[in-house]
Amino acid sequence: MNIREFKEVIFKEAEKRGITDFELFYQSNKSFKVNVFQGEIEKYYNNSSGGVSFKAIVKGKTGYAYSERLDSESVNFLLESVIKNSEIANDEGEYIYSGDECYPKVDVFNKGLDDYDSNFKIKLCKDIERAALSYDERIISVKSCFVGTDEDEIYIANSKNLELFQSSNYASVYILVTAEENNTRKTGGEFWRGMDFGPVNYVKIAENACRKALSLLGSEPVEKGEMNVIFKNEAFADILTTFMDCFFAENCQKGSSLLKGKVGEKIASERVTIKDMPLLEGGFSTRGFDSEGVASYNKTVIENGKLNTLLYNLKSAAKDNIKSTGNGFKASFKSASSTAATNFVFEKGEHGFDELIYELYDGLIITRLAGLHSGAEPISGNFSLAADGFLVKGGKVLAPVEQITISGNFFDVLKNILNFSDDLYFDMATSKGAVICPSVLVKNINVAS
Amino acid sequence: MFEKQKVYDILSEALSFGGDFSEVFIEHNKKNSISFINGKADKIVSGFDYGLGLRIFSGERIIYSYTNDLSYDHLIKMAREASLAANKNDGAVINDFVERDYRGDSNRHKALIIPSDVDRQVIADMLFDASNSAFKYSNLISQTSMGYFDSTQEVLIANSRGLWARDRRVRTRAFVSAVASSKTEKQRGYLGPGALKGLEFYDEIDLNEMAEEAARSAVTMLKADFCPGGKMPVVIDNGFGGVIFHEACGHSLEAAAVAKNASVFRDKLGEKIASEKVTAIDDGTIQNEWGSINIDDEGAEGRKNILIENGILKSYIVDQFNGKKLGMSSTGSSRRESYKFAPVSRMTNTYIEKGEDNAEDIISSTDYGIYAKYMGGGSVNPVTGEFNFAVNEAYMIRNGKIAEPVRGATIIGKGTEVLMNIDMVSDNLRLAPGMCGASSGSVPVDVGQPMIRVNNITVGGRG
Repeated sequence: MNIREFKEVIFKEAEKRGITDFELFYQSNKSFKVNVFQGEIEKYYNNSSGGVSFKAIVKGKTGYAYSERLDSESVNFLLESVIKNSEIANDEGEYIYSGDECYPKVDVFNKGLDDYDSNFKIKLCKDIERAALSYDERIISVKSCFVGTDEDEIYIANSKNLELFQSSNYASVYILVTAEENNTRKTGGEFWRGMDFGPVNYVKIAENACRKALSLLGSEPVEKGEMNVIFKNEAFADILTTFMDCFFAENCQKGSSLLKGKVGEKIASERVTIKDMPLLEGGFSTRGFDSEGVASYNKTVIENGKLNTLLYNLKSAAKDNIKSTGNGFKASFKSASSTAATNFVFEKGEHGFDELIYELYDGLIITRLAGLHSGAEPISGNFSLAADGFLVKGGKVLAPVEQITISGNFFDVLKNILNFSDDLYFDMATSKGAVICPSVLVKNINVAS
Repeated sequence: MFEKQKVYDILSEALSFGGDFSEVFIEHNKKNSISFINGKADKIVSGFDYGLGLRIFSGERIIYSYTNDLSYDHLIKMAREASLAANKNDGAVINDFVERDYRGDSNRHKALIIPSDVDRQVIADMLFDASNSAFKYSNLISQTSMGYFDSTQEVLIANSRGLWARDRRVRTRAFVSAVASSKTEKQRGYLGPGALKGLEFYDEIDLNEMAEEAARSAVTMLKADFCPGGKMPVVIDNGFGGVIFHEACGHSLEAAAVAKNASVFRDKLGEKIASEKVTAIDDGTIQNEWGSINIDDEGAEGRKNILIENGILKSYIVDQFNGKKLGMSSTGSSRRESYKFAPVSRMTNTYIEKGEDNAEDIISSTDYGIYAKYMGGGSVNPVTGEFNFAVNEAYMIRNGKIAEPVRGATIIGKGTEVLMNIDMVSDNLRLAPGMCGASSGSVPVDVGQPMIRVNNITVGGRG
């Protein structure tokens, strides 16, 4: 069955069983990816998959189920499961959304992307690897190098006659290289994503990865203590993604966010403005509606240091008696709706990165963090993480540092931001959103080695 | 699940333009997850994962395609397209299938109570009770989060060399977590028991006791000061403490990293890479253990592999494809999260074997350092061997005694160095379940060890 046929069957069957409030969510993905190693294709992937989830409100309680199989057996499985699951669910006043009057049009599908055949992508991948290996003799190997394309479809239909469809596609490139000198190895990675291969500068992608790895060779020890640091944009994006959960209203309601009750209060340095921008052109999380069918709009989360709004889905908005901010998202069709940011944009500063280094004068630049899934506690905001970076003395980058940890608290970091530069970095999209941010200078971070 | 002739046709079509090996992995996986927040049902999801992954080897090349359209015509078309990516014709033939079935009597890890047969209310009641136990422990507990998960995965793995293996893997896991709060701070305690068995698991463990333990840990850490940073001895307790070996060494012993010269332990077989106190094992055969397997995800039976014996590197963790590159045979440890991933060498139950020291002596012989009671997760860069992991519950050791609790500790190091610095290994070996993420997805593994001491390692903290 295709999804439209499946919808007809399950809607009829649901009604036959006396279910009146329900919603079908369908998601499919087609992906192609080629990995090259030492000039040869190492891995070649060509995949297609999809599935549906079904949500129903039975006697005021919500049941969820999903299936990767679209047939009559699944219709039965889904309906039986949602009824059984609703029986132990909690009455949270969930409801099926009847839709918005109009939905913004977003440019997230490029018809032309299909014109690039597999040979083009294989050649591009080989070119990138070759460019990296010839960049510097200390680049001893390319650990991973791939070129891929993804095409996604989302379809939502419910018992309130809402019907929404969106397809999107993108191309991506990734390379991770290993540099070696005096028996020390360092890795450097570079990721690129776009809607068309046209603007890809493969030499630049390879060079950026190589430069990152090479720059970390030959490290100097660093003294422990409290100091000012610059989080390079990539590293700061990791911090923001890790602690994103605190901006979700549902976490405040459940008691797992320290931002509970802080709307209207100053929570960050006055310079800081953060926006959630689903309508941003070229964002990696650009979309016209969320997983619950609510129309997307741009909103300011932090304005000049003040918390302006939390991010809401239908359920958390109903609890606070306001309208959803269109941030009800699922990690995939397999999960129940939760909350996520879209393009989470930390507004850039006016000056270049070099000027930020001069402002730091003495301290560290942190270029990469490790252990974010374990060394950072989203609820308390505390983090203690392994880091790579550079020592800065007298406004000049002196040498790389290794085997250090940095510790602090996210909520303190927000308040302790002294300045930031104009080098916006577009981080990969995750199930929490896609961060866009510059490099940020923060005071009072603990460093140990 | 599938007719032999149709599978034969797909395997054969997959080799029509070249390639020396083809394999299908067909999966039916029924899953349930239930979460409770503050004693109330939060998210309840049942699901059915269903699909086929096709893998072709062509010299040094792996071709992989997956789909959940399992109609014959679609699969033949997919196999033909995949075959076009093969680069040479090795004239591979398809051998007759030899049937192996691990779902019945030959299942080493039998499940007595199949989760889908159980009334969800029973599980809901269990989570509700656990939440109450955590709240009752202390009035500092401000939030509880209880989770339950099960999966019943049925697989067929068939390949051009005549493999036809069917397996059933029934797993269940619970998560108990409690947050203790003061006016400005929040600290979380957490436990996550799991097993490769059915719901009889919950007759063997006491979720209420575990919820109390999570609450105790959260309350203890709420009152703790920040951990001091710097280099010092660290005593790591048994059970999940074994994550140090998993990160510091285990990942770097995976054949995929070794074959690509992306491991610090390449060319080190037979050499001393750890202190002689260290013997490390990867054992997929432990009955009903969370990380165990009947067969791995390319059909090889699980095994007990000695990785390091008295400090000497004895074996890598090897899958078919990378084994061929290295001239080694499979160690029964090729794994994947689902049909959406090409399998690769991964750990199963990996632990440091018990030693001859006594846990009390380890503490009493340490003048100053950290005692890490509960570890969090970690990660490693196998190329450089640099690893990190978090300590969820830690204490200072002063003058040979466990002193005040400290929080926010992270331990970092390089695999090659930390293994040499393990100077005491006790006899209280224990395993603990976890999820391990890598290129073939997230797979269930156990980590484990007896209490050990690392005599000098970098602790990150801000005290």
